Amino acid sequence: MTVHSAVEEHLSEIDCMECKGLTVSQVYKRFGEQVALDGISFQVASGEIVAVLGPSGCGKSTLLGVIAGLEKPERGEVCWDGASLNGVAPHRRGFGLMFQDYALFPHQDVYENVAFGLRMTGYSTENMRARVEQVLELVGLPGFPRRDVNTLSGGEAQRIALARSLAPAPRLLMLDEPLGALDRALRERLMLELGEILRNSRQTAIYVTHDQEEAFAVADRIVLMNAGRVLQVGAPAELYRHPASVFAARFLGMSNMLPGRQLSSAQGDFIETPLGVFPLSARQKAGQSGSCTVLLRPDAIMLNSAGACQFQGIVQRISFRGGNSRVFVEANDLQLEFEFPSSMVLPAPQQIVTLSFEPEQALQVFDVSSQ
Amino acid sequence: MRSLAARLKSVAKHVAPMLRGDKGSRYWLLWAAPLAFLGLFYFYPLLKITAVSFGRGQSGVVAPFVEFLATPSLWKILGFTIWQAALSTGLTLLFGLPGAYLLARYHLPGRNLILAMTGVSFVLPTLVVAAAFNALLGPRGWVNLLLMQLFSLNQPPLHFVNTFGAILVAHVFYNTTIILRVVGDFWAHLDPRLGQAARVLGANGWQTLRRVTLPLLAPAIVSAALLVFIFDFTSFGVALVLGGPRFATLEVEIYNQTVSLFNLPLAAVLSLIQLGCTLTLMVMYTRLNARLARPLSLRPRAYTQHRLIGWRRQLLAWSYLAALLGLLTLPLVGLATRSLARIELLPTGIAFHPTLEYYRELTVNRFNALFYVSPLTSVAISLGYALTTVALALVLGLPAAWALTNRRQAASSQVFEPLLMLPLGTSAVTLGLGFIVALDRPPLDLRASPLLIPLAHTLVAFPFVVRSLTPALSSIKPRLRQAAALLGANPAQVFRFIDLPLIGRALFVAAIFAFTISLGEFGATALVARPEYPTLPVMIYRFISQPGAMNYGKALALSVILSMITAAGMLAIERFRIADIGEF
Repeated sequence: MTVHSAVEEHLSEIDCMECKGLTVSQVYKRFGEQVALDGISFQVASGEIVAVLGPSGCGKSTLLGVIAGLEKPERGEVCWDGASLNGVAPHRRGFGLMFQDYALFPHQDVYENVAFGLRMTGYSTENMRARVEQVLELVGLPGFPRRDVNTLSGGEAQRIALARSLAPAPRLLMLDEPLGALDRALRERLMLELGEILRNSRQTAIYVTHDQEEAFAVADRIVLMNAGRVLQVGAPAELYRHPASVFAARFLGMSNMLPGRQLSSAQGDFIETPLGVFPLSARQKAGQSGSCTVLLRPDAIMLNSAGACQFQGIVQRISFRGGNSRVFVEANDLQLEFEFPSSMVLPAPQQIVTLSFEPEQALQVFDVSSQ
Repeated sequence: MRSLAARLKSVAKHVAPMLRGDKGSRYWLLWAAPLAFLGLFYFYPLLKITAVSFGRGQSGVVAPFVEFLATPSLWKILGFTIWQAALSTGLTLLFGLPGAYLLARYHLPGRNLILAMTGVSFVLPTLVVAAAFNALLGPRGWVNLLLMQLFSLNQPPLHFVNTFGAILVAHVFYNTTIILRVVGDFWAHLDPRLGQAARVLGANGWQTLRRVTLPLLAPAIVSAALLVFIFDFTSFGVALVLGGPRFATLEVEIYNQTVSLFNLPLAAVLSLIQLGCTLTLMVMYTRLNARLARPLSLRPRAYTQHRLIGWRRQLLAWSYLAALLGLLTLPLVGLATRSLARIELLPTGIAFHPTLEYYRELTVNRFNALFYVSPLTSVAISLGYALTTVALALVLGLPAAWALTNRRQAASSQVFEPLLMLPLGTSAVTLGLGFIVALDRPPLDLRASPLLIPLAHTLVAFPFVVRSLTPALSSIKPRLRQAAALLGANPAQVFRFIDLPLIGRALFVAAIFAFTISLGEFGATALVARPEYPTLPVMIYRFISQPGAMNYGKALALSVILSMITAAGMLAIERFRIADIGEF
């Protein structure tokens, strides 16, 4: 069974009636002529953190709007514990949403912002104070309550926004690109902290991002989206190891795609590419024999001839990226790129190098239909 | 710019689902009251005026038009009205632009106070302004009295009142603050890096101004100039009192035709001509602005302003500001002091006696008149009308502003916005005339209703209220409301905890605007006020038009009282002005 058909099967299993947690089934949403959501289905189990990953404009924010009740879908259903939420107003859903720009109330101080949701649900003043203190502690900003929100730094505002959405203990917390507005260093630190905070408070959460690193770091499962459709659902490692389509592979940072043809013979299955003919295991085979696209995984290539399959190329350029370096190689008119630790002895530009790989690990075949 | 047809089409596209009762129906509910109000008290009276001008008299529809065309003096009035408005606008720009630059680009100590002081002159009732210039430069004003004293003259040497110059100066006095605010505000938030980029590319200061800064400022300058022009074009109180019979504007002529000559059809024709002119201007303005406006990223004031460095610049800046504040405050100082002095012309010279008698006299019914209305009663009457106007204008303006800022309905709002602003471009006398011809029979017989004047004032105040509220409402990001809803707030709670606190100041500012406008309104009031319920400006006009030093003194005293009430309102506005861009 290929990964792709596994996704299909997974999607067809979804049925509102029997699930705990959130179920989104067959949601369609259009803006004028533009289709924003084209039959989206997925689930979030209670206590699970699911990342919705996709390029900008793929419909992620619209999806959050539909789940939150801010947007009305044309077709399809959003259910919680099996009960449909269609027609339920946003403030009655018991969901939280942390906006990308935080949307802190500028006329209220930190305490009032964090307490807002508690006030709406009728907390007593004492309980409210205790809960606010608790969540401020949780996000690592105790002793902040009387600060003016307009004077907060980006990182502080982000934490206060998180505290505000956590305070009323929503059944489901949605985070829309929560780290999008922060600089890189801060983002990497908060990425890990955020995952920990969510896990420690056993918060069911949907985490929307366009950054695969963030999704990998935070999520239990990832829903990969493009152009209003779900492409693949799976745990981060599974997704990375077995991208279900050329798009998924490219989006996850794997760009070496070779044109190929699958051949079957008495000795077994082979794949013919511009770099040579390589053996395929039964697991790797995709669909019928004939034309296909082959992914050469950049992380499974050796800069020597130790692997079972070898090819030669000319080094074009080396781009230093800190711990790793990216090596651009031209081989048989193909532009390929690979990553090696910068600590290795790297070839110089214009040098001819021999590269090798184990086909079982390095090759993934996509039939033409899964472009 | 999109064509009208395309706009209407997009509106139709929006209207259709509303009529089917979709979720936009709440949007149309918001429009119900404001549009009903405008329909009943603006468009209906205007239609009635049109009907009157076309349909009355035995000589048929065209008679009043023929009368207009055949009367060269009326042509001259139209020409003069345009000419004086253009000249006044040019002078106001000349005088105001340096100030806009200073206030925009430099961090001046007392900046808010300066702005507040210029703002006071804008909201002062026209009659008070006229009285103030009279007190300073009139035949019995300070300057003439001093000159007479110094050079032992029998006649006032300076002729200011009833000259063309008086109208121009008063218009500059009135409208400079519009240039300072509209252009200055825009300039203060203009990214200084654009100018710096030009300098780095080799432009000198003058080239930078001409090629970069002025083109970028053009939309602000054009819209400020247009506002000024409209105010000058429809000038009434200033022209009536300071211009005198030789310098009547259209507005004054409409008043004369209505009140003195009872020639309603001709007055109606003149009103239509005036309305046509302002409408043409507004259309031209929208066209021009659409062509001039560029998307700009605005910067907070703290980023664009510098300290004023160098004694030469300091000297230049402060002497300009001294001239500005001199023009704007001297007449008022003259008014206040003149209302406290009794003047005696003696053969040996002039004697000044400090006195409170003009104020005391306000409470005395000297001639035991039967239908006497105490001037102080008119203060109470004015306050009552003003408070009613505030309530009406807010109740009507808030939903209109709310609907205008609804982003989902931007297409329909584009059509409604100019409609709401129309009363701003319509002369107050025309509005009053419309009330007289339209609201005189059941079920809309409001001639005796105490609501008649507040309704007229609300019409004048309405555009200001909407204009004050929309920036505050549209500065509330929809995200904030959504965030509140997702934290469990129902729509009422969202309004109570998010919208209301955020527009609180703007509401207050709008209320004060309505209040001061109602206090000072004279054009419409002069036509519709009942003699037994005079407002303060009406009372002032009565005293001004009566001869004698005592009546003159009482007019001054009442003017001082009126200007103090409006000034207090204006200072309150400055205090609660909406926060700077970027401070939210």
